[in-house]
Amino acid sequence: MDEAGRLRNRAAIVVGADTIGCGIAQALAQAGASVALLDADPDSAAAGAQRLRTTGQHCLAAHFSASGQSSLESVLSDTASRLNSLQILVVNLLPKAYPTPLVNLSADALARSAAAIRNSVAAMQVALPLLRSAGCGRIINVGHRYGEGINGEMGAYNAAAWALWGLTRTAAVEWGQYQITSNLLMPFADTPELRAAQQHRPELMELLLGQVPLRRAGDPVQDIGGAAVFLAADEAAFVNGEILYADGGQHIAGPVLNPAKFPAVS
Amino acid sequence: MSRSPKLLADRVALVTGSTQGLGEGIATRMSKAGARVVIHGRDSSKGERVRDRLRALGGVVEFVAADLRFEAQARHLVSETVAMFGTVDFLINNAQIVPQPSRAEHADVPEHFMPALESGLFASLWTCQAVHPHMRSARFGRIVNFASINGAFGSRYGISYNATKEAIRGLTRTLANEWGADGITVNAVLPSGWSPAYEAFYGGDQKKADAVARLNPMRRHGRAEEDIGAAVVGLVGPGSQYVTGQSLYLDGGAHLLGLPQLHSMEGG
Repeated sequence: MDEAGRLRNRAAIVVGADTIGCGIAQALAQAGASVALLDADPDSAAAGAQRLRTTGQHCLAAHFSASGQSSLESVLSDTASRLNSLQILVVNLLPKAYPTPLVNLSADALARSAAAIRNSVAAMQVALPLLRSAGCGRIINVGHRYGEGINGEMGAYNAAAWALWGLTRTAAVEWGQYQITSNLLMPFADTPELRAAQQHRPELMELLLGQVPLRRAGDPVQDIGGAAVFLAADEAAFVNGEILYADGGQHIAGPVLNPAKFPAVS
Repeated sequence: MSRSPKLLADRVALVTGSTQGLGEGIATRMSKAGARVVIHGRDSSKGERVRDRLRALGGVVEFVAADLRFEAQARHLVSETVAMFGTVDFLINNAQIVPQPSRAEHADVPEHFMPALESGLFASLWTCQAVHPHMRSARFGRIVNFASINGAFGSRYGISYNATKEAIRGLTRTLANEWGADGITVNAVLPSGWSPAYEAFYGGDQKKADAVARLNPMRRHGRAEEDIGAAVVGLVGPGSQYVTGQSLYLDGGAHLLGLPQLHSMEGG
């Protein structure tokens, strides 16, 4: 029950190596887990894993593409065998949010959401037998407060965000019998998007952060990753089918920044 | 081999209603995780037994008797904790008198509502108010209040208990919004774990208890120490500092399937 070794002898795969995915991966590694980072972009995965190695843990990187030899399924399965076992799966694949009124929502945008959900399901399906034989598997799906908190002009994103919550609940009910828990982590994090918004609209952002009970955006490693460590650790063995808000309490206060209304960072 | 510090090393925890059941499981797990723990209950002999058991396991543990239906006693419990251990980092508001079942149309304020509200809602408010100056000056505090799946779903014949438990969630969210700037997180848990109260609910009917376990997505009942106590440790421990205002079921996912209305009144 010591702090640094909470996840000793556990292996984790984090799918989706953006700021939040990398933060979670880092926190899992700091808690003693071996971690593999997967992303569609080879550079993101490799750069994330490079930073992870500073923790001294066994860390891997891999990238996947839409189909074929390097589909998510085969890359994940291959990565798991390189890790020797798998106790923790983090699925962080929700699409970026683009501003579109519902009346103009395109089939393409919906298809991107559907692909993200399809990949999320594939990751969970491939991980299932490994998590099952671990006897204490953890599925941590990563959502975002946008889906609950903004709604307007984010139809494609919201369709994926709510689909992920539905899938999390389905896995919780179907796979709980194997002592696998499935939960949705809902972060509010200090991301590049948030920083860009701070640059463009400092007063608005100050107002927004002032509404958050803890008065700050979450650190991707300490705060968001910290909450993921809780879900991954023995402490959360009976927490199943839940949303864990790593959001400084924003879900009881709000409002949420709409990233679609700010220029994206390149 | 060098050992890293325990999860709750050097912290001070006050766990109300911890002379049996879930509260005892929580106090046990917190003590094992390195916290100094104050056990609380109304019955000194039960409290001293839990204290001695945890001391035998190597814990630094004290017991304070108090009847939390009374404000002065609730505040005294906190000041005793601070007197014994210098501060209070974790306040775990588990204590709750569970009134006799009553049909809603017969629910009585003095008989049913007052004991539930005083021991649950008011006691949680008083202990929170009493710990606040200490947590604010430390710029650190973790409060966990106790709600219930019965309140969330409104199980029949439990109107005073259910209303109390849902009121505690409103209290929790308000405190989270007001005290977040002081470095204090306030969360609620809705636990489902094996305890004397749980056992009484099944009235020795093992078949019914087994059937309910099979309904749970994880096919088992919660364990006081390993499931409920551990989750409370996780919520107050390092890593969860950015979680506040949350309601967290500790039930293996049972709430996803709704709550079977199994409560009954004696004599139908």
